[in-house]
Amino acid sequence: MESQKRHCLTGLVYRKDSKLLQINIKLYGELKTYTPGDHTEFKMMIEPGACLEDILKAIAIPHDRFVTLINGRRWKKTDKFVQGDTLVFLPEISGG
Amino acid sequence: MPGWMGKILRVDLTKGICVDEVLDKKIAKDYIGGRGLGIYLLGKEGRPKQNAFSPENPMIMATGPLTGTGAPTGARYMVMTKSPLTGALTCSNSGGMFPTEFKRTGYDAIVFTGISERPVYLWIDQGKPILVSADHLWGKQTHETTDLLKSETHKNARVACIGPAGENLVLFASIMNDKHRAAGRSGVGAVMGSKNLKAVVVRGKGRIPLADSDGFKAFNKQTLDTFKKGIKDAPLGLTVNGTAGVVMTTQNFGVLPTKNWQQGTFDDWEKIDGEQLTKRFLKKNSACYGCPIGCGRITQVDDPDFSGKGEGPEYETVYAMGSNCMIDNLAAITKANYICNELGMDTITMGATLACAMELVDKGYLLESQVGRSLDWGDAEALVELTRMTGYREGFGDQLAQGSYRLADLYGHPELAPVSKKQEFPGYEPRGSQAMGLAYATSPIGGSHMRGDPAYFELFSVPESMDPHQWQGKAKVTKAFQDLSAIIDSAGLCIFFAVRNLAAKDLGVAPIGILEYLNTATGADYTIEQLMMAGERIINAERLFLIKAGFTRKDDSLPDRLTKTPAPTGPAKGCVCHLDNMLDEYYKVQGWTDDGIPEETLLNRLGLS
Repeated sequence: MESQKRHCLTGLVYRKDSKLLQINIKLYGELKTYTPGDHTEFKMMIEPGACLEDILKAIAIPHDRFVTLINGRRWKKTDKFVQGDTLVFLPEISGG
Repeated sequence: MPGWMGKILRVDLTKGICVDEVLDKKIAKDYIGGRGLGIYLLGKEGRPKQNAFSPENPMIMATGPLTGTGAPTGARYMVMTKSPLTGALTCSNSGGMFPTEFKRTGYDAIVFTGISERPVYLWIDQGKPILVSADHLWGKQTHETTDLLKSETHKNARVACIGPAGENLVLFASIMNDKHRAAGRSGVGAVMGSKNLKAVVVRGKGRIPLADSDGFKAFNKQTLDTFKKGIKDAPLGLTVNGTAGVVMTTQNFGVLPTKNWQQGTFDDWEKIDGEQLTKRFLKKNSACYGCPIGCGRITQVDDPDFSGKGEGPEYETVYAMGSNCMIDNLAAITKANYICNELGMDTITMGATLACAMELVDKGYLLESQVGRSLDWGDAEALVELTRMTGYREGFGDQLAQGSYRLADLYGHPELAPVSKKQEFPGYEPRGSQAMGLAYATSPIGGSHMRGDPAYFELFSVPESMDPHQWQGKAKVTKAFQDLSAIIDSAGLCIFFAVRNLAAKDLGVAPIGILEYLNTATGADYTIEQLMMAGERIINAERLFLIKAGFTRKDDSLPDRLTKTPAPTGPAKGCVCHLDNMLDEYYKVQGWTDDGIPEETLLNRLGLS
């Protein structure tokens, strides 16, 4: 799987012969500049068994100042995705 | 006595006299300054059971040893007194330029007691205090008051004052400094108004002495270099969109309080987010003294219905007046924020009280004829009009001026008030952010995010993340953050910089950077243990005040809405806040009894028995 990773946001971690899962990706704030085109939300096909760590390794956001959420909850980086999951990238921010 | 100025000013407003007092070295070290010095003085001289508006209730303004030193965000002062809103103590904190100028007059703190017969203001011109008649200022709004006071004292003077809301004893009136910054919460402005004290005006030239100036500068350079390197690739969200940028985070976690805390998601959140504020109204950023972040927003609204100029709104205002009232009109929210600043009122309690009124109307417990106008969810016009009426206590505004608890209680439904110890919550929903619920319930001032902010580890992954839906293990970390906040508030720093840059990067958050700053500034030779113990001492001294005022475990509470009704929408759907479980764990971690009373051994260790 390692050799077939594509280092961009839209086509990631898949082999032609595998049954792919579709997940939703959303990016907010200044992270939007890393999405293709003007979209802040798009769908991504991933290989079954792929986890957050795989995606973080492959994406093209050049820093780690973001918070990731899957279905509104924090996951361990090694937890696996299932069909229809939503992965959100939020810029790190705090407020008062 | 470097770092500290070494003097406290006592102002007896009944007699109209000002007296200097020496700040005891040991007290300074044990309680640091700011909030710590405040609770030391309030604990010693305050009367916990006394009415907040009685002449005996002291109102203390205190800076910290790092205020005005040039340490990043060392720009804060604290107002400490007994609160008319909660009946508990309160400490309300503000930045801007006033605190530094205050300290440069030569005083670490001012203690106001008594009640002046006529309105007065205190003018401290380079160490010389004098009480001056404020008859001509009474009734005036904060911006006009500030301008008039600068013109009659000195153009470089800095002003902290109350507006009509403080004079009218609105229970959540604020003290505004530098026009736009607020010691906002728990009605400190009403206490000031009850004393007939309109303003504190300061001008100082004194330099703040540092024990080891070279060491201080070297550490400062190193800290700022690291900070700047960190933001080179990615500008801080706070700098770009201000605190209002947090809307996007809380919405995505499902913890953006909406419809008077009935749910944690707001469909129209993108209309009130910080990005919109930046696009539509931002003129430029503003920063407090010595702050490298600059989260302040200088804004202007041209919309003819809601036009105005000023600063803000902050995230808390946007939640309270926006999603919580189902209002998606950012121009109206910004306008109501300006009105709060000009009349001198807390935007959190104002918005939350209005949302509570909307639900009372929605459920038929309060009639629109009693309000005197329509009051539907999402009514932007009502927000602006009723905010103004509250500051002047006109019509229904007179009832809103009591805060949400008294309002809801008046109409027979206190359970609809989103409060702990009768103070309204800031904008993080505990059903999807468990530790936040624990922090609200155990905060000494009632609902607050500034006395220990679990949003850092539950939502923002600072210093590392914890699952916001789990309650297990939260007590220990919440205590660590509360102790840290006591140290930050006492040193004169702002949590926005200190939590990320001056604390250890693990969930113990030891204040290692603050230690370095304090030691080079004061020469007090704190060890890390002594400094952390000072944090605990402050928290426990506050707790003792509350116990003497009659507060018990039952007051460390949240409304049933958050602990019994599952969240209906969003990522936290189905969750409730497990407060009771966390409280048991929390009291153990604190060394308190099951009723929340500090054990004798703990008090002995902290020197509080």
